[in-house]
Amino acid sequence: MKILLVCAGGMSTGLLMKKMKEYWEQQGEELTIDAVGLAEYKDVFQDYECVLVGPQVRYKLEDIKKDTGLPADVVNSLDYAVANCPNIMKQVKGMLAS
Amino acid sequence: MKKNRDIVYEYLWKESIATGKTSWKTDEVAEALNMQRTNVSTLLNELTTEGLLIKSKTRPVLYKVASRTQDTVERKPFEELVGFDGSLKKAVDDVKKALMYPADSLNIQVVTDAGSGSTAFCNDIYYYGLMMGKFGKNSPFIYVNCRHFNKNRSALNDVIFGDKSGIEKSAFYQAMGGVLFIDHIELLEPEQYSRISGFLETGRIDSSVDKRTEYIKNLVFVFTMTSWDDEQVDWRNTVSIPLPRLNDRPMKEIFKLIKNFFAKEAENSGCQIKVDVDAMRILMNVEYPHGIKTMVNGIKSACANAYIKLLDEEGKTMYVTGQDLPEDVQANFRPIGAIGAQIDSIIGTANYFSFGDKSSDEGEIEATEVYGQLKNQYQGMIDKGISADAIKKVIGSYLDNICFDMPKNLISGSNINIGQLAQIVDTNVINYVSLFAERYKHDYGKELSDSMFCGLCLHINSILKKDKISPKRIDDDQVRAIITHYPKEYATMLDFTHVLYERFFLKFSIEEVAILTMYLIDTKESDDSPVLLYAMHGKGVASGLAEVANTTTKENNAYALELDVNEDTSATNLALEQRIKEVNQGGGVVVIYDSSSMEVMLDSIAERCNIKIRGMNIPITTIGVVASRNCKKENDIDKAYHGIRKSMNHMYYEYKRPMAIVTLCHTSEGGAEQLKNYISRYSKLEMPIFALSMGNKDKLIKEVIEIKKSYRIHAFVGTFDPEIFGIPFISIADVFECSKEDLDHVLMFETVQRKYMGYEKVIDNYGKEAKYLTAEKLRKYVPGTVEKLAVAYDLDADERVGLCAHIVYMLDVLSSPNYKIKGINNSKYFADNPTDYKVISNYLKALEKNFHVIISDEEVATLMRILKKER
Repeated sequence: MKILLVCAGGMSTGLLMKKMKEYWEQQGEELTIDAVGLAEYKDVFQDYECVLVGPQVRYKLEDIKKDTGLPADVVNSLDYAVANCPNIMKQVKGMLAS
Repeated sequence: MKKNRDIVYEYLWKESIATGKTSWKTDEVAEALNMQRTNVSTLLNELTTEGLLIKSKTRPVLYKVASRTQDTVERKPFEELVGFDGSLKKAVDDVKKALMYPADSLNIQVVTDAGSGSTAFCNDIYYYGLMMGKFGKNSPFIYVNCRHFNKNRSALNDVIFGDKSGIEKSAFYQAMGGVLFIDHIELLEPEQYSRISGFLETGRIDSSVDKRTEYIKNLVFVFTMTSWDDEQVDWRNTVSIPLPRLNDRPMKEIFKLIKNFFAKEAENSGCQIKVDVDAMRILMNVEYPHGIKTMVNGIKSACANAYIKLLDEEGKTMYVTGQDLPEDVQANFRPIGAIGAQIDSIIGTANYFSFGDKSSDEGEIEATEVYGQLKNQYQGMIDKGISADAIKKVIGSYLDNICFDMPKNLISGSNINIGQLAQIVDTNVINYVSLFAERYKHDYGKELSDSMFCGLCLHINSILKKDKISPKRIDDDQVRAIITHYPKEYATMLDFTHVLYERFFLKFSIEEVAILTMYLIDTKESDDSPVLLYAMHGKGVASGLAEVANTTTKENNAYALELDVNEDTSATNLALEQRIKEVNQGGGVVVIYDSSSMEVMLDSIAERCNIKIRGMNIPITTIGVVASRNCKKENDIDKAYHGIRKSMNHMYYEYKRPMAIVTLCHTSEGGAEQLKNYISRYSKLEMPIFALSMGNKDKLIKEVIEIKKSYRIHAFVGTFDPEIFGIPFISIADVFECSKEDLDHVLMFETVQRKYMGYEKVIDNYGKEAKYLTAEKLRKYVPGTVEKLAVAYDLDADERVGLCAHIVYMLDVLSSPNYKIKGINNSKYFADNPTDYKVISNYLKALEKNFHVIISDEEVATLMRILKKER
């Protein structure tokens, strides 16, 4: 799975990214994940399969979808708050499947 | 700056050579020099102590110049110094050897701590040289004290190295064939240091005006250097003589010094002094931070305290007890320990130590100026009806200041152009005001502002030029107010006027000292700050409270109005108005009062006089009256207490008005109206609600005052806390976050479970991972700020959680020592969005303060983009 995490400055998604890597590994799934800020996603999205957006920049979701053409969604805020990786994995799989 | 002491000595010395006259009475000198007799008497005594004059034991007392020739000198140099055969023996032997070494010139550095007696020691170097024939008859002795030139360094340069007229005017040149004594060389500036160093190396000094250098022959150059910070300069071709610290000297010597100083005070005051054993024990076992100076000040202060008691009792003998010693001496009292036995063995079993047994001299000796000044001030203040407590405070502070010596390391930077000021003000005045400014800074930690400095110089100069005291310009009430409210400042100024008297013979009345004190009062920030006024019934209540506030805070912004219990309302109203006008400095007056009737008066005064007044009713005197009556009425203490409490409850109940809520909105009353409707719809508290706009703060305050006349405002509810009248504030966010059912809990300041529980979860999760911050701290400070931002920018629940995570992470990153700013320029973005920038930066201040970080512009810009939901 190749996921691009987008938040304001690529700051708070750093921790989520770390936890996701750990969880994906535990689940024996491959994961390429990077966190970027709003200014950068347009330059790098080509290398990813989907985009996860931090809740604080959810207003950007439509733009991101339009700009990248990739499946994109806002991380559920409570999952984001506690880095609930099982839920996030479900969310990503759902996005990719649809 | 030629001191009066020097003027007197020079006169006597020249007269003795010119006319052959050998002895003078005090009156003769006073008349010849047109000086006050008491002042001359002090100076003659000083010169006698220094060994320059000899005082006859006859009546009337005659003074003669101590001969400087070997055969007739009556003073034995060094031998009169306490410890010359003890702790100073090595220093004395070394300096004698150095002096007798057959060389043309000699440089002696005396290394000391402050107040180790170096000045007396250095003076004796000269007399010893005279006695031993090292110097010829009438050889010069030039003394320069660097401390006297703190603010006027160019003048010091001129004195030491010569002015524009040439090197011949320099102290070095003039001292050839004798002694040049430069005191406190550590106060010189680097360039001056370097010139002195050059002299020590080459024996020459450079001219200040041309390239000429002059070889200085036959000079004994003595200088003192305080060894603070253990920093010693290794001067070339110089004999270094260390002197022991006062506290390192043997107890016997300390005892002898104390006795000598008391004897001197007995002479100065013209009284017999009896010192009790406790005072003596304390003085012997005190750490003296400034050495002998502290000891002398302590003794002078104790004697002056005892003198005041004497004025009360009209006695002839001063009794000095431990209580009379100034607080700083008492505070430095060291643990007795093993030293106690040593002290006892030295002081023996006497209960008192007597000094100045003047049975034969009674009536002959006049009190010197310090005591004379004390007496005059004491009497003057009594005549003005100033309370005994206030007098004691002034005198006490005055005594603390009694010695006008500066700590050495306080040289203030100032922007004043002394040269310009010197064109219109006597440089001596500038120098003395400079010294005073240093002292003031030391004592109060406040700079005398440049404008006040110049003002004081000009004021004193004008008095000096007219050679008389300026006419009285303030009335007795103002004088009383100044002395009562600013006792320390008054005492400091009193001390300064004493110095001015000694130097310029300017005599200052109580009024004049009060006027000068106003320069100090004015230096306090007069930036339209509000002031506090206690308006209380009963004698001393208000002034006592104001005094406590002023003494504790040192802000001196608390004032008092004492009201007569029998006074009618109109008299109270008048007094209140007058006092408020007097004390208001433009920023308004907070009035703490003790009678509910004053509330209405304050409102009308505020309106009538256009002064901002905020009143606070603390009915302490009424409670006292009630308590007293209850105590009289009931025999049982619990019944009395119950009665008092009941009355108090009643009293407070009376003051209670119905409660009301004020809703506020930033710009218009529209938002406030909506909030009002929401609250009135769902709240069951049934409080009246008033919707107001926060647009104009003055208008808001007026409206709130109006509402307060009928209601007690329970809280403001709105977008921003106006922070007025101490009224609590409830954020609109709190109101809308809770369920409608919980609204009243929020309005009654009860804890309600918040709708957005996401914050805690974010912090629990991210806080655990944070490297530099604790979850506890994050939990305490982050949600509040996030909430404010979320309300201001209308974020939904998801966005709030994301924002919270972003801020937590941001704070941790900013706390990292490795945090680096990327350097993106956001100034255009901020310029385009000034209001957002202002609002957001303002909210972030709390985080910066609590987490000790600086939120960079880059981070602010990112937050702005999140909050503004920029696409």
